[in-house]
Formats: sequence, C-alpha cells, structure tokens
Amino acid sequence: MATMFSIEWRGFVEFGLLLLYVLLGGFTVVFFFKKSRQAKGRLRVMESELASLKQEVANSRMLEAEFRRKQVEDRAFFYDNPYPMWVFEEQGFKFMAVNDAALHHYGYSREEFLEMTILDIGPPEESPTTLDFRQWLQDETVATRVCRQHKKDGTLMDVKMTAHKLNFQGNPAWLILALDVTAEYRARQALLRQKERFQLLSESAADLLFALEPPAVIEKICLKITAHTQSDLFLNFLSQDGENKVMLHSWAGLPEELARRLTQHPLPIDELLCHAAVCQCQPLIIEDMQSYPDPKAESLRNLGIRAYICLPLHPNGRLLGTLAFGSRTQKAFGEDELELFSSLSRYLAIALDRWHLLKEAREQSAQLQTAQEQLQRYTGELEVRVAERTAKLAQSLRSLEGVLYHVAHDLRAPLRALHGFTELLIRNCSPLPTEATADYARRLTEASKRMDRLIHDLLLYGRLGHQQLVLDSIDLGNILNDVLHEWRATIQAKKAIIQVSQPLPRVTGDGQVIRQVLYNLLSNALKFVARPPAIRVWAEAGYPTRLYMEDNGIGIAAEHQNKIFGIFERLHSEEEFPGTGIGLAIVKKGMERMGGNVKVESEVGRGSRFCLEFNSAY
Amino acid sequence: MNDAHRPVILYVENDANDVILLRITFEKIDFPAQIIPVPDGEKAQAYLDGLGAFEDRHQYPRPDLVLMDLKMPRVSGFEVTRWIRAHPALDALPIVILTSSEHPEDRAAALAAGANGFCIKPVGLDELEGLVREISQQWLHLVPHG
Repeated sequence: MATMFSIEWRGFVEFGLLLLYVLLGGFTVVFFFKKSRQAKGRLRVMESELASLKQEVANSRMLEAEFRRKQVEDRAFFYDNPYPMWVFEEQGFKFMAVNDAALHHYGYSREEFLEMTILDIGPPEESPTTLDFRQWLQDETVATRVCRQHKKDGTLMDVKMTAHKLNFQGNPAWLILALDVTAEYRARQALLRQKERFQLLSESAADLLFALEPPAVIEKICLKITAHTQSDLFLNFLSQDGENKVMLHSWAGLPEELARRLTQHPLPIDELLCHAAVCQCQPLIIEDMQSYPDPKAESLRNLGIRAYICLPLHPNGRLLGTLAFGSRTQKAFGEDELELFSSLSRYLAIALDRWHLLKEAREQSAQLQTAQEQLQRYTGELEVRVAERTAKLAQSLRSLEGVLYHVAHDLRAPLRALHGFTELLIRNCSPLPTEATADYARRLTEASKRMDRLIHDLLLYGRLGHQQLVLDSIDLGNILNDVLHEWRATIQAKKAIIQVSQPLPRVTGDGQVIRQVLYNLLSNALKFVARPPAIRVWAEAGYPTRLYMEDNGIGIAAEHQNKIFGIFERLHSEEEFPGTGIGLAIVKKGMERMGGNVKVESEVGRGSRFCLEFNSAY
Repeated sequence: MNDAHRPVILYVENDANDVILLRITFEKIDFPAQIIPVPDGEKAQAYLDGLGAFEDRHQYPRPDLVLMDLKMPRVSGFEVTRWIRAHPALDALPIVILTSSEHPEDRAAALAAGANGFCIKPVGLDELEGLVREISQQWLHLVPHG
C-alpha cells in the first residue's frame, strides 16, 4: 500500500535522478572534451562508462515502467474495487479518497464526497456522535461495525464497515471497506420474526388449551398478538348460551363508551359486520376499511382502521364467537399475519369448544348430583315417614288394644249383671210356671255366658298380637302338668285318659303363651270327642323341637284343616259343641309369635294329631 | 257395741249391680259379714280416715277387709291401694282386688301396689259364690256352717 503512495513521489525522484545523471554525464563529456588531447586513451574508458550509464538509464526506465504498472494495478485495486472504499482522516472524519464503487453505490460525485465527512452518510435519525465513532475506531486496529447509512436519494441500507488505520498524505487516516449487508440483514430479521411468530403461536396454543377457562386468557394472548403484528385493535365476541347473539368479551383499542355499550348489550349475529362471513364459516378480510362501503363498518372506519380481519370461531359448525384484528397503520395485513390470525382463531375455537363441552358435562354432573342428593333426601324423608307411620300404627294398635281392653272390661260388667240377675230372677220365680219359661231362662244365662267367653278369647287373641313376649327356657312337662291340673274337673267328669311321654323337653318361649296354647289344645281334645277322650302327648327334641297331642276325637276333614286356625271359624254349631271359634286361632298366633308353628294331621272319625313346632333359634 | 264382732268388708266398687250381686251371694252363703259399699276411691279414703259423713264409727265401723275394684273414675283402685299402704294406721288392712280385668300386668301392678290378693269377677252366681267362700276363708277366717 505504501508503495502506491510513493509512486508519484518516486516518479519525481527518478526524474530528478535521471536529470542528475544526464547533467553529470554532460559535465563529464565537457570535461573530457577539454582534456581530449591529453587523454585519448581515456576515451575508450569514457565510452565504456557511457555505455554503462546508458544501461543504467535503461534499467531505471524499466523500473519506472514497473512502478507505473504497479501504480496502475494498485490504482485498480482501490479505485476499481467492486466494494465501496474510502479513506477519511482521523481528525475531522473528512473523506480524502473515494473509489468508484462508493460513488456508484451512494450516488454522490467524487467532488461531493470529498466535501463530506463520514457522519454525513449515516441515517438521518440515527447520527452516530463523534465521540461514539472515535471510540469505535480506538478499540482495535482493524474494526468492524454495522450501521445504518443512506444514499443520496435517501434509501436506507445496512452497511458493514471494516476499517484499517494508515497514514495518508502525512495524516493519520482510516481506510474503510463498506459492505452492503442490507439483504442479509433483512433476511435475518425475517427469520427472527418467523421464530417470534412461531413462539407466540405455540405459547398461545398452550395457554388456550391448558386454561380451565379459556375466556380468561384471551385478552392476554390477543394483546401479545396485537403487539407482534403491529395492530391497533382487537375484538373478541363470545356467543350467549342458547341465543343467536354475541357479546363483547375482551378488546383493545376501543374508546371507552363504545366498549361499555358493547359489553353490556348482546348483539344479534345479523347485526355484525362479519355476518355474511360467519354464515359461510369464512373469515372476512378487508383491505383499507376506509373505502369499504358497508354501513355496519362505520364505527370501525371512524376509528381510522384500515387493515381488518374478522374470524368466526365455529368448531363443529357451532358459532361460539368471533375474533377480529384491525390496524390503522397498515392498509392490508400481510400473508404471514393473516396466517397467524387464522391459526390463533383455530386454537381459540377448539379451546372454547372444549370448555363448553366441559361446562355442559359439569352441569349434567351437577344435575345428577343434585338429583342424587334429592333422592337421598327423599329416601331419608321416606324412611322417617315410614318410621313415623309405623310408630303411629303401633300406637294406634296399642290404643286399639287399650280400646279393646276397656271395651271388653266395660262390656263384661253389664254382662255380669245380665247373667247374675237373670239367675236371681230364675231362683226367685222357681219353680218356673212352664217348660218354655224354663227354657227361655236357660237360654238367657247360656247366651250371656257365651258372650263372656267370647270377650275373654277376643281379649286374649288381641293381646297375643302385640304383647311383649317374655322369653325363657320353659319345661314343657311343668306347663302341661299345670294345664292338666286346671282341667282336672273336666278330665275326671269325662273319664279322659291322658298319656304323656315323659320327660318332655325344654324349649325357649313365653311361658304364659305356651300355657294358653296347651290349654286350648287340651280343651279341644276334651271337647270334640264322641266317647271318653284318650289323649296322647309326646315330643321330639331337636331343631325344631316338636310336641304332639293326639286325640281320639271326631277329626277334621281335609278341606277344613286350614280354616280351623282362622279366627271365628267354626265347623260346628254352638249346640253341637260350644266354643268361640278363637281357640285354635290363639294357638296359631301364639306359636307364630314365638317363631314356631302349628300343624294338624286328621281324618274324620279317626281323631286329630296336632303338632307344635318350637323355634330353636329363639 | 256388738258382742260378736261381725267382720266388716269395705267394698270399693262403682258398679251398683256388682255390689248387689255380691251382697246377695254373701247372704246366700249365710256369712255374717257386713258389706259396706263405697262408690269411688275418694269416698273410700274419706271412710278409712273417718272424715265427714263417715265420722260415726258406729254407723261406719272400721273394716276388716277391703275389696277393691280397679277401674274407677278419678281415683283408681291402684291409687287407693297405694294410699292405704302408705297410711300409718292401715298397713295391716288386707286388700283384695276384685276386677274384671284379666290383664296379667294389672295383677302384677296391683300386688306391687300392696294388694294382698287379686281376683277376677266371674260371670255366674255359682262361680261368684265359690269366690266369696274362698275370700272369706282366706281373709276373714270364716268357716262356713254346713
């Protein structure tokens, strides 16, 4: 590089030298001419010296040509370099030399360039200060920096400058190679933007899909999108359940009054600007709203919106809302932006759909739970009511028994009087005047006696129904002996033969009830018989324990064997065999209350065998 | 004052028919007992205390036996029984319940209240006679003549 600058300088030097040589040569010739007589012999020396001198001149001419050639080469290297290059002095940053490429690239002429400083080609808004520049240059001997610069016609470029310090025309200066990297820069910016967009989209998708309530995150996401796309407005309408209306849910860039109105009153779908698009499930894209004729767009036009897009959110054909973006600064949205809006609206639609489905599912589940709770409540109430009814029933039964008790009690008093005074009457009037009178008298007393027996048996049966049993281990033999003792008069009178297979087993039961049961059975065995009664009693121990009473009575026909245990069921008239018809009913009820049973085997004319089954579990 | 002390039976019974029948039965068996009826529990208490009309012990002598019905208005046989037993001067007085109730609980309750006996009023004069004999024998130590 230094040689290039010494070219011209050396040229003068060489020329000077040359002149000197020539002059020297001339002086030498003159000198030798004056002394020609003396030194003819020296001529040859002089001639040879002259020849060598000529040789040297030729050499220096060659060198000069070499220099010139190099000069041209170096000159080409700088001036003809395809990249802009220049030299500026360190002191005032003034351009000292500029190559053709710089002239071509920046648009200035060489004269204009040489009048400017390096600061003049920086961008108008962003002029690097002198201090800043100097600092950059002081960092290293070879430094690189990218900065914005502008051409004469105002075109901005990103330029990568490589600087090298040198000495130029005696002054410290810098040699700069300027590389236009605008294209690469733009490409890198575009790539960064793509990356940003991708990240934004995936974040938004994640936010939407993980949110329990998507509407809550819409505003945050849309604000990010609005910032990224340099939009001035976004509108998000959500549909109202079940109606064909939408209401503004989140927004940015609307005046307060308008926003308030839209968030309080649902809008019917057909009043929306994007109504037609919604019906077709297509987005509405408008370039330059200002010249869009639709009257529904008036409020948006008044806001100065130019580029606009409205996307219906319609997963599975159901309209859940709309999402719109608008920009005042851009006339139309670019393809990348439109794609971004589109993807976002798809994610939002899916998230909203899922949210609605979840809500419905939750509602149904809540309804189910409510129904279940109601059912439980009703069941509980029902149980309570049933318990109440049962208690009332038991109470009324008890009161019924009380009534029965008192009725029976009160019935028996007049019965006693009836019977007693009838008897007294008969005695006082005895002997009675006629057979008939005697008969009437007899019937009177019999009737009242019978009524008393009926009341007595009824009371017994009633009590058996719900009295509290007193369970104990009962010796059947003891009870039977007591009962036989009670009937001893009749047994004796009828000359009855009773055979008991001792020992009789023990059973668990209510002693009083068992006594009554045996009493009644024995009563029947002694009554329903046409000859002297022969009664056999034996038992089978085990599970269950069975007690048998067999008689030689009149027997019971097969078709009546079930009936006889019914209350008031009588197979014979009072004249044939007196009785209340309750005796066997009492036996059955008593056994059942103790968890057992009574059965009969019988044949008319061959007697009956009654079997009492005692429940061992009791 | 009589030489031969006729046993006095206080019959606490609100049914007039039952009173007549009992009296007739006693007459029939020719027992010398004097039957004094009172129709309810309050009068029984007044009689035993010798209050009011019953001050005259000549006309209304102290009883040797009390026959008591259970079901009476206002004051029941149970209450009178308890009252007698709590009465300092009357604790030795035998009480026999004479009722138409065959409720075993009533028997237990009466005996728990302090009654000495529990009999059920029978239907039929013969049965009544048998009962009366039994009661007289047991509580009045009366032996029938013939």
